[in-house]
Amino acid sequence: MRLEDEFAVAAPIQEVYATILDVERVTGCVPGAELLGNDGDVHNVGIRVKVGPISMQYRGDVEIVERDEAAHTAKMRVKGREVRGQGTVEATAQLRLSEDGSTTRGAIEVEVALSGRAASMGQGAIQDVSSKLVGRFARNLARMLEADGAAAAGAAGAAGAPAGEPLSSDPAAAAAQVEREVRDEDENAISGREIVGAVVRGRLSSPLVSAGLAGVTLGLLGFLLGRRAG
Amino acid sequence: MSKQLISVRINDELFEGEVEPRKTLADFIREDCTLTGTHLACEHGVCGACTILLDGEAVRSCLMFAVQADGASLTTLEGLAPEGGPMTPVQQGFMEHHGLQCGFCTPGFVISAHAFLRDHPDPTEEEIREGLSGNLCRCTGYQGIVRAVQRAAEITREDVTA
Amino acid sequence: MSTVEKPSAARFVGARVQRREDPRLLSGHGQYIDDVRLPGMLHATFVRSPLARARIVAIDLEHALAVPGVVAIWDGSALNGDAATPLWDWAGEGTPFPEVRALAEGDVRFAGDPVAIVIARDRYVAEDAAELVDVEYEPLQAVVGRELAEASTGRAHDGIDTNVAWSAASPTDPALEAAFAASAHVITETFRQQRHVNVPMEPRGLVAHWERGAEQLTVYASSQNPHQDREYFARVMGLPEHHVRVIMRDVGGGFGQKIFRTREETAVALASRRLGRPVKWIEDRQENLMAANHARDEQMTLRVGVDADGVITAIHASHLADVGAYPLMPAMMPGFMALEVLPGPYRFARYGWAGKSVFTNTSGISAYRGPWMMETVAREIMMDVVAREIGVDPAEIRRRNVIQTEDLPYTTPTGREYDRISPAQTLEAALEEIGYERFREEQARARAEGRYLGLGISTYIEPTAGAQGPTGIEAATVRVEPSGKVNVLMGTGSHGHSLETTMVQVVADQLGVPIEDVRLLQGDTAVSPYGGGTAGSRSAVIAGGVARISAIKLREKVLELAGHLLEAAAADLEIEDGTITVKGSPGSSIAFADVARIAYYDPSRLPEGMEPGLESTSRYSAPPATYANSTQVCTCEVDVATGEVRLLDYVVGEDCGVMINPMVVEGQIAGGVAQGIGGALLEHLAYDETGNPLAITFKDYLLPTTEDVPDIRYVHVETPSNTPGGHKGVGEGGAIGAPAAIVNAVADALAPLGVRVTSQPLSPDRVLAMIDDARSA
Repeated sequence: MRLEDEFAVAAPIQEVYATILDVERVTGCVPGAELLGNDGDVHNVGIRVKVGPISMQYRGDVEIVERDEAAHTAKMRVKGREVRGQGTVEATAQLRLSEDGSTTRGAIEVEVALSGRAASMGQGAIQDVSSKLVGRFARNLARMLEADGAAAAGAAGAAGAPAGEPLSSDPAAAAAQVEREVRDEDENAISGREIVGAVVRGRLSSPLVSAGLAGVTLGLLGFLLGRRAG
Repeated sequence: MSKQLISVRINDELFEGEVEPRKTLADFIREDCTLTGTHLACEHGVCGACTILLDGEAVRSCLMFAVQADGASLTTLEGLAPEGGPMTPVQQGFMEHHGLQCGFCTPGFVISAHAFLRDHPDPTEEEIREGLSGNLCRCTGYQGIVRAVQRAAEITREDVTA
Repeated sequence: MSTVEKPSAARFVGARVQRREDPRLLSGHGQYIDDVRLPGMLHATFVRSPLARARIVAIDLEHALAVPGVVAIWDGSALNGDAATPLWDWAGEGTPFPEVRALAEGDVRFAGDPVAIVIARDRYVAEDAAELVDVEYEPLQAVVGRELAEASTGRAHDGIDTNVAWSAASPTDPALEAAFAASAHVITETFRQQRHVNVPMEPRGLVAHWERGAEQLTVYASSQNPHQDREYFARVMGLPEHHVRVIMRDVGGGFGQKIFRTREETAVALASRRLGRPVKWIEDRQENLMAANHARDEQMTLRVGVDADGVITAIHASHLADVGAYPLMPAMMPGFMALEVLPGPYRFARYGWAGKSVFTNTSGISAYRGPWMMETVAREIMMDVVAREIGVDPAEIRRRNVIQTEDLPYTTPTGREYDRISPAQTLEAALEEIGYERFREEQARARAEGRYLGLGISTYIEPTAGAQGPTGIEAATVRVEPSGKVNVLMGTGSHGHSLETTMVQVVADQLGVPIEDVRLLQGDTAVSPYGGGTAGSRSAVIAGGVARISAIKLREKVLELAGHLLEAAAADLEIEDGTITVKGSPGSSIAFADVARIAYYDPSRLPEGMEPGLESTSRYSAPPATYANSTQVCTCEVDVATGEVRLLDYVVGEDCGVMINPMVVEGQIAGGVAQGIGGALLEHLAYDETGNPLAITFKDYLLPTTEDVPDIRYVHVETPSNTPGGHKGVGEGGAIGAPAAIVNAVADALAPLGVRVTSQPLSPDRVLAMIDDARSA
């Protein structure tokens, strides 16, 4: 499946490009991500995608297979699998940065092959998770650059959320900070009644095109794990 | 995993037990309390088979952890009518109108119908259909179930006026 | 409407007797598979492939085995060898079939393929450990999509160098082509039906208990068919049949999914033997939707020739089925059955067919309520297509073609012999009940107001009680115990079918005892005689038939003994309400219970040569098929702004012969209709192009609710069959007829917009897309 997302950061394009390709630093901007090791352009990364009360944890390799500093593009290949569970992920991500006045705009195109419980949620849900992640990533990236003193102003993330306090320039501390914030944001438990209502509303679409119901699907993700919860 | 001591009153009997915090209320009822009249058919909150009354409210016991029910008072299908005593109007209605075939979804329907009729003692067919739309049955096509609930309301009215 | 004359003694057969099952099930005291608890019982779960097609490179159990409470974990290479034979094998001349093993070994063939079994002290621990089993896969090209499979460069199975599982056609027939050439109109259309899942509310599960001392396997099964299970486990485990006992108690629905035992259930039994302990496996809903067997997923192209009046001159049907990776029935079954049953309720002489089934990397196909029903879907939607095309009313075109009573006996072009059916009567009865002419007027008014109402008809003949091989016979032991209470022992596998009530009705009538005095014991191979289980709409015909035969035989003995005791001729006696009386001499009587007591305890009072006791076992070999017939008619309104289809009225005209219990008959019809509504409007087990299942929760696999199924009305026509009791089957008909009726109603509603409806489900988004397509065409 193909996913597309965009973001914007109020920082110079070279600055943004350099930061994004510095995997060690940028990992701290991705909610739930953790850099486990490096081997040249191959980086061993873990990521926890947290939805409601449930987190799905993946581990795998991110390889930067192409970079063109002049064009501000890069291509990455991802291959990973669930740490607890049997799902797999294989993806190729194309990053393209462009200048828009003092803002840098980023476009990410991802061709992803998922299996396991994430795949069964359908493209709509995955796009939703992806957009949320990219939005948070952009916001955190801006805060990181701001902390470096390189950014003039805050970020204009895809989600339009205002930037919070600057992100620590220490990757580990930044990661912890991001995780804490994400946890706080996600702590909105879903009641059974809401689920039932959502399911009833969800009946208006077929599983092949459930994009509009991504939120509902995400709510149910929590229960996909059955006894694994907790 | 560390266990937590909980005490829950089910059908007027006190159950105390040590449970892992992740144990669902449905599993606690079925396994620890051996009350297997509560059924699990989806474990993700859609089908309603596991519906029980928790302090009088219909809840899905697969969506709750047992520790969340500590101190609560529950009613399951086994506790609706006294052992060996007469059936409730809802049970009677289900029997008279073939409101069940395989019986697997029945616990949830009967409990939901009890809660529904308490709030809607004189329901229209449309209200019944809406009120029970959160429970799934694969056998009956809901024909007997809707009629059973209508009949239960009727029996209850007769009992009150009698 | 005709009614049959009932035997004068009948008091229970034909009555709406309340169910004997209900008090237990309504009070929470049913005994379903997950309610079985045995001392020392362990719990199993499965590690399943996330990929549709991949090589298994390595399996690392180290972390999983370290979880406290884990007893054992086995992958295919460790466990499969315990099986004595392939689990099932439908290979034949020109019909390849994969070797079916309990667990995947070397490669995986659908998302959900069981790769390892984890046994632990409880299910939580088992699932914890299953997550930690580390399987390395090398993805391979998955074969997905019935129309893509044959040409795919991928292969669904190793060792089978084609994805075509079965392909056959009727011989070239010049007379067929001549009939088409002579037809006033020849119309061709393709109809598609998406993949469904049976979805019993209780998922699969079992408890297998290897009893070391007895060298016996006892299986508590969630099954439709305990005796065939016994045979299955004996075969695959290399055990003599008398060292296997299968017990099924309450079963939470099956609809075909629980006829056959599956790979996971086999793995659990093998694991129990290895461990010498009881092992329980209870499937969760996601597994059920992903890896329990699926159904439908097929298409049929019809070429129909009619004369100027719409009378059918010739039909050619070709069918394509996706049977998944490991179908539980022969790959030819869905197609062959559909093609063979297709002529249905209509008279025509020239027929040709072609069928093909393909393997794909998806969950295997099995039986689901009317597994051949694509014939009704295609034929009945086609009847409306033809009617619209040539300008004949859809009710009228059916009238012109339907088999009339004077045509009987009638042999279809595929050799099915009909007699004692009434398709013309059920058609008329249903049309009358729905108020056909009145609806047409209402529809015209609504159209003038810009509202889209439609009516759909679906007429069909339902082959019931198919009797051959293991399902050809049924047995009943009717035993009057010394107290006069009656146990009936049968090899049925009722799971919602109310046999504990209906079989008792049949027996109580014949023995003349109160219904409370009779009880059915079924579902335990150690208790009941061999029987064919409950599937294929067979129980009323075959089980009801043999219950009657056996009870009549026992009644004769009761009367002979009573006559001896009362010094009267047996022919002069009658039994009513537990008392045997000399007709016309109310003073000369004896209690049924006294006869029973004497039969067991006082042999000296028996007639010369009579064996003590009161017990009869009979076996009945049924005809190859017994035909029921039905017409379903429904009306709907389509909201062209939202695409929502609302069913307004629903009528089923049905002839299932003599009804044992009309309440149960209507319940069976209603349940089937609801499943058909689900298939027509909501249900779709979709896969993406790489073979990921996209509907493995009830959020995505949508079942009909109270708000989707309208009030259903029934018109009963009772034409007795030529089987004992005159019954016909009724279990599957509702599901067979409903989808075409609904599709036709929607197509009728949208006809003014030029919409053509040839596939399902008619979900709002698809209805809107069809309207858009028609508008832009």
